[in-house]
Amino acid sequence: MENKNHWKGLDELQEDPAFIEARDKEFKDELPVEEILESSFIQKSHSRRDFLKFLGFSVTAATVAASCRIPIKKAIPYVIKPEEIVPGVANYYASTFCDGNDFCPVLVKVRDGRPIKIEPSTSRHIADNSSNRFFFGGTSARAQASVLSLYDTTRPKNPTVSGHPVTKQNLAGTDAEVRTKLQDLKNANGNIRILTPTIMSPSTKAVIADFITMYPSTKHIAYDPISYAGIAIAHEKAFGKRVIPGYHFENANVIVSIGADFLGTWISPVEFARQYVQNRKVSAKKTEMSKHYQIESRLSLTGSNADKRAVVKPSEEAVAVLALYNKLSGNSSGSNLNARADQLLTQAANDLLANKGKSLVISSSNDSNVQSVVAAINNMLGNYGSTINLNLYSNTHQSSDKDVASLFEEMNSGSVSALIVYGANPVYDHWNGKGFAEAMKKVQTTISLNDRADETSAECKYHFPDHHYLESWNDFSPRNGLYTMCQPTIWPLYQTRQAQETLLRWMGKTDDYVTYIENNWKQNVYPRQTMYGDFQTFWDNCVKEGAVEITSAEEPASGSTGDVTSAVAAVSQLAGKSGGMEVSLYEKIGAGNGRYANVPWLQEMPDPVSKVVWDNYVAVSPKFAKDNHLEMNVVEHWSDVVNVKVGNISVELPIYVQPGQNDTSVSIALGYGREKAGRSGNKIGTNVFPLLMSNGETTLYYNAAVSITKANKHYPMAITQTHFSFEGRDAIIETTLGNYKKNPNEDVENKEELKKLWAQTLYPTQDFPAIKWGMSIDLNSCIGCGACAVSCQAENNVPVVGKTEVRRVHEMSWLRIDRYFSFPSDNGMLTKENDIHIDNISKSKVPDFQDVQVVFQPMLCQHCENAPCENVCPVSATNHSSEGLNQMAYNRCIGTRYCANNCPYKVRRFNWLDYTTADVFPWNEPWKIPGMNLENPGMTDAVTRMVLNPDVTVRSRGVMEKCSFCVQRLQESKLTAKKEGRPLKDGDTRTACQTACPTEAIQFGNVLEENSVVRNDHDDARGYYVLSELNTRPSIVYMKKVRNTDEKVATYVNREAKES
Amino acid sequence: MNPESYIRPPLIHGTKTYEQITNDIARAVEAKPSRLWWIVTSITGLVFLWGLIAITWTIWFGIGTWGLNRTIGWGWDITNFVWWIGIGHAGTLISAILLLFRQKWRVGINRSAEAMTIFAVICAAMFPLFHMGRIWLAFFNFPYPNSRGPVWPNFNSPLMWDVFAVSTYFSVSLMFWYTGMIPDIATIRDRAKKKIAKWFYGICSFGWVGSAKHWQRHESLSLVLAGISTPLVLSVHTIVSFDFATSVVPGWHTTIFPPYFVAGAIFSGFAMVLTLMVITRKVLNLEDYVTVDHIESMNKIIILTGSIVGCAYLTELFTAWYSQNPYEQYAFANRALGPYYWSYWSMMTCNVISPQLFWVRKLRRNVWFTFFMSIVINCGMWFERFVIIVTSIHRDFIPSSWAMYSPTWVEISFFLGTLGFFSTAFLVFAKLMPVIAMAEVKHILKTSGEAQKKAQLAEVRMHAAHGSQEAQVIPQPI
Repeated sequence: MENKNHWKGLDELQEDPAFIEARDKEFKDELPVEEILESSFIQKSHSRRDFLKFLGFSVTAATVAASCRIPIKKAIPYVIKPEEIVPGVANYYASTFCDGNDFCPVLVKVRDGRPIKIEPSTSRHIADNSSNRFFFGGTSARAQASVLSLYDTTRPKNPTVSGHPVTKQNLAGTDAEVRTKLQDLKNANGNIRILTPTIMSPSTKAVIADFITMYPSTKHIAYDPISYAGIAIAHEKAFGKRVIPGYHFENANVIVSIGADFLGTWISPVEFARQYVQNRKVSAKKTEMSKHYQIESRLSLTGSNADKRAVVKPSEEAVAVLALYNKLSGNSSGSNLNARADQLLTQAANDLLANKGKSLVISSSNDSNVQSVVAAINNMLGNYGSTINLNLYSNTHQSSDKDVASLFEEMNSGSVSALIVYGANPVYDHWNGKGFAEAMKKVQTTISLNDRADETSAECKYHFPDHHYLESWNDFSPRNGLYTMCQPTIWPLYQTRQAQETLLRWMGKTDDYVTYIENNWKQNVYPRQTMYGDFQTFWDNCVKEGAVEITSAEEPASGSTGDVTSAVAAVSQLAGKSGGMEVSLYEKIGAGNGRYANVPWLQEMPDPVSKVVWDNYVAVSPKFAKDNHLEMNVVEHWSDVVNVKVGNISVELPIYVQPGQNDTSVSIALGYGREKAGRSGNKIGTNVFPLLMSNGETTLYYNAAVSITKANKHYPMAITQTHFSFEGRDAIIETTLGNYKKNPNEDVENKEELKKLWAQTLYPTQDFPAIKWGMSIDLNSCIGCGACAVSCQAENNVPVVGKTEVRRVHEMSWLRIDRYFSFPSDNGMLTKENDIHIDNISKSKVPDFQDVQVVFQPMLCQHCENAPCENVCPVSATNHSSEGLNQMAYNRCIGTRYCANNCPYKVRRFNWLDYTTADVFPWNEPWKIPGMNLENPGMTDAVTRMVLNPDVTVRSRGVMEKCSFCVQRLQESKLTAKKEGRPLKDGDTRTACQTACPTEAIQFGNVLEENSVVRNDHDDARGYYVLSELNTRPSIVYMKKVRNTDEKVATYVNREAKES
Repeated sequence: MNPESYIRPPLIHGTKTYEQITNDIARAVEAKPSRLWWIVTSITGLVFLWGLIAITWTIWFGIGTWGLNRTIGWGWDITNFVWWIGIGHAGTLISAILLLFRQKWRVGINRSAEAMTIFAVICAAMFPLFHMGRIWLAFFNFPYPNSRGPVWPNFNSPLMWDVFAVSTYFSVSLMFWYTGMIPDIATIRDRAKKKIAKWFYGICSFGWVGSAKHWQRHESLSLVLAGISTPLVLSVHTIVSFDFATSVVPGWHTTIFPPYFVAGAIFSGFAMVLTLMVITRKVLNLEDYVTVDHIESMNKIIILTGSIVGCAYLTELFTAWYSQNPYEQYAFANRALGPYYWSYWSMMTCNVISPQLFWVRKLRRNVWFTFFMSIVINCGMWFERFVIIVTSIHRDFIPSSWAMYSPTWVEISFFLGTLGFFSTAFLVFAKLMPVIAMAEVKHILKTSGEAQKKAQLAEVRMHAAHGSQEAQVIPQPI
């Protein structure tokens, strides 16, 4: 075999010399090298023709060569690959976001060891609405943004003593030093105080209890900057249980909220939002929805969603509670509320009486007497046991304002020897923060366990920074009966230590905290459940699933035993007090009570109601602004500054003219004006915690003696939406419940006609062979909270641009929530700019600006089938996929911006500057441009960039971008289905905005699939397309808003007027 | 050239010989540049340099240094583009269309009008180029074969047509202008005394010797180019108008745009020719060649095109009302009464009302008034483009996204820079090349020169003295 010789021809076989010569030559013919070198071609001058040839070739070659940019990629393989990590594949870990009083069970998406996204928990105890007692299955903007705070470079990097860093080697020595001090104090019986916010964690409570056992002179004091102690005190008086009860909005047919912003910030908003919409969604099958009355002083997110709303002064909220009590108990004594509020209460009282046991009355007041009356009302209506649950009470707010006050006294009298602060920041967020700082100076040993170098930590001698929650083990119990786990998802970035572990060290214990939790659960939680037979299985399941429910026997709700008459008398006393201007102080939905000041995503998240970013302000009513000659110029983005004076405290703040605000009061958000929040959060807005007042028992979130004077100054304001009215256009379609019941198929003919018209085109329509992605957005469920917008920002690497750039209308949000005002009157035309102009207030035809209706509309790329952006792009950088996506090829985009001009929905975003530092040139970062004075929001350093989603391209300067329907998720879901060898199911594919939504207002899927949720919504009579008359054929269908009100609503009337 | 009636006023004043014409026109080229020329050119050159700094700034830091935003994607950039390209229309109109219509008066102004076209188109082209987010990828606009598979530009997009429309227009105009100049350059070469000038004009004249064959080829080439450029006059601005007309934006989406834009372009182009010629004829003492009659003729075209533009404005308003389309109606109400009302009313005043003053013969023939009006019209036409672009998109369909726009120093400097470039280029041109087509003027001397007219008149008078009938129609000399 081996010797066998193959030959291809006779000449080869015979080894013909000519053949051999030819075989050994690479080229058949002689290369004319010599000839060329010696010829005239090189040596002689050339013709013009040759010159042009050379020129043409070299220019083309240079262009082609120069345009081939080769990206540098560095890939370092694992030496030993961790079992669970596959590069490029994300892992999800069940955990719990809990920061102060905010609580949210979550899944943490981890890519290659980096947490990059927060998703809602999928635990069966939480996510399943149909059978659940607990409704935590959504997320808030704060939970979404919490992943960014992990990569905050201004977190403390190591423990400090008097500001000097403690190295890893010296930590044990410093621990010993503190321990000696504590031992000495124990021996000398010196007072030790631990100051924390509400502790929702049972194991942390156990650690503190152990600490107290070891150092018996220790006392634990819970302090919440926003206190709900009034409710707990009232329930203690009435039912003997000092708890905030669990509320169940899903069971209520009538909801009356007096000042409580339960969808925005009140107690547990994510939970309440999900409960609330259970009874707000309507369809042709279910045409019933709850009726929501709201009485408040400012326009809150909740008030914006209310069916009926009236305004009163902050102090009059107590009067309103009393008036409602009187109306319900048949007491006809009149209230001195304004006519509209009084009329609304009468209506509400009738509805409440008709829905006994199926209603809910709540109040935001922190006055225990007011809350006693509220409890009495609910008791009278039989709501305890149905919409209010005293067994599954809430653990989110357990502080007592009295304890903090006595701590103050103790500290001032010098009787406190050591103060340990864990998670609290009273120097900033107590009404007497300065006083607290002074009092701290009288304490010998001050220790901070806060995870930030905040205002309070700065006053402490020792600072042992805590881990971020994504680096920690912990457990939580937000409601009695529900336990959730928190597990680390990344190795600690800095030299920090879990606070509980620090306390354990000082007790001389060497356990790590996770072992402590495990032991604690073995003793206290495991025995109370019946599902699992052995502890290890139980524990493993808890860690895996993230939550466990402990069913305990329901105690019957005991009847109220409280003395309501004295409470009523006390509230009547309050009622007489209101005099001049008042200020209501509230928490922002984004930046909260100041805790999230250093999270740029939350600072740049537009306030759902005002759409202001990066600031707090004095919200005044249009009438007040006009009477006091105050101006807000939304065109030039500035507003007048006012002096707000309470006693001898005065603060300067810009105004914001807020329709829906009460004329005789103003409102200001707490949580701004941080001094030591970190790089992005310092000196944003003004701190108004000093304006709070106390009634001796609890802190009150308003102040009744305010004077407001105009300061002759302008202040630059950044507002993302500067036009408030929808001009009576069909972008928003609303109806009333009465109308909807009468004719659920109201708009069906219009829609059919529309489809017929759409078909009238000369151009061929595109075929979608298998999938056409589509979305539906239910305007009835959307409460406008903004969680989707932050989720989108996290998922899609949407840059933060900073306040000045927002003022220049350069915000980059792919998903925004449009907020429009209208009047609930019959006069539908009053949605037009000229009519609602502030100068028309005195004219009779303009109704009361305090009385407005609000509608929220999430607006994102509509992925039009017939997209106006696509045919105008000169280079086809934006084009249509075979699955119905309007897609952007970033590499192809040359940035002519015609697509953005031609987008009727204005959802395209251009990278005006190098916001993400995607370019290779470090010197052209926006904040380095001379003369522009742009602030750096702190998103571009290497550590913060770890939050970027590796599945999504970081767009460079000069490129257009927009919502992609989370195309990376769509691909992933298709691949998963393919790997599992099955067709794609409805619900497999979920976009980032959809998963984040606490109210399930956003649905996504394949429109071609029979009976998919989106398909049904697209076919539903309530569904409509925005700007459908343009024949853009959007892939997003909006479900028209149904208001549970008998009055006609603005657009509806307008449409009728047009038709007639 | 056919003999012309003596009733028509002469197009060349004074009793000129061919040599005199050469002397008059070539004088400006051959004389040393005056101090004034140096001062003015330095100033305009500095302004141009300032514009270059603004362009560099834009490329270095990004379009974010401009005042554009989320809602308003085009502002001064495209306004200036359309404005300049409009100005660039007069040259070709005069060269080609007036040639076809045998309008002899064009020879006094065609050379500088064509030069103006070239420079204006260069200025215009800078804006769409530098307004791109990633100018380094501008070549994506061209359908070049590439290794990325079948990646072609989008032939549906008017922006891509723009690339071809503008570049074709530029190259044809450039050829036309230069071809026309060759005989004149040869004249200057022959008269040049300095070696360097001889060498420079020698190269530029492409070896022209004025042989019959040269003239024959020159004439045929001119005719061919005139044939090519005539449709271009209409096509370029038509395609520029498609940049707006093919969109869905209320105020842009209008079928009236092509004729309306072309008329507007001629309107502004003539205004700019007037601005330049009024100065040039004075500075270079060329009043004999660019006469008041020339100015009057151009003013007549201004009345015509201005009225067409005015009609278009009113038609737009009528259509908006008649359509009963709420977006369209709002767009036009917003133009007139919205926050940018000042630009709308500036446009209306400058473009519709003020040109009507030219119905008065005295004003039409007043050089100073003409100069003033030419500036007014140039401003008015700038406002027209601003109104169309900015006020349409700043408030379109979804009210939540309505916004305002104002330019930054970078955009303003960029615009000033193009003005600087335009002026510098024209000044340098006026110094290096004859601003009036010598050969063509000589061409009409025998038919439209003052001496010829006088001779004709004398002959008629002679006949009259002999009792001829024609005596009754002897006109008064003008």
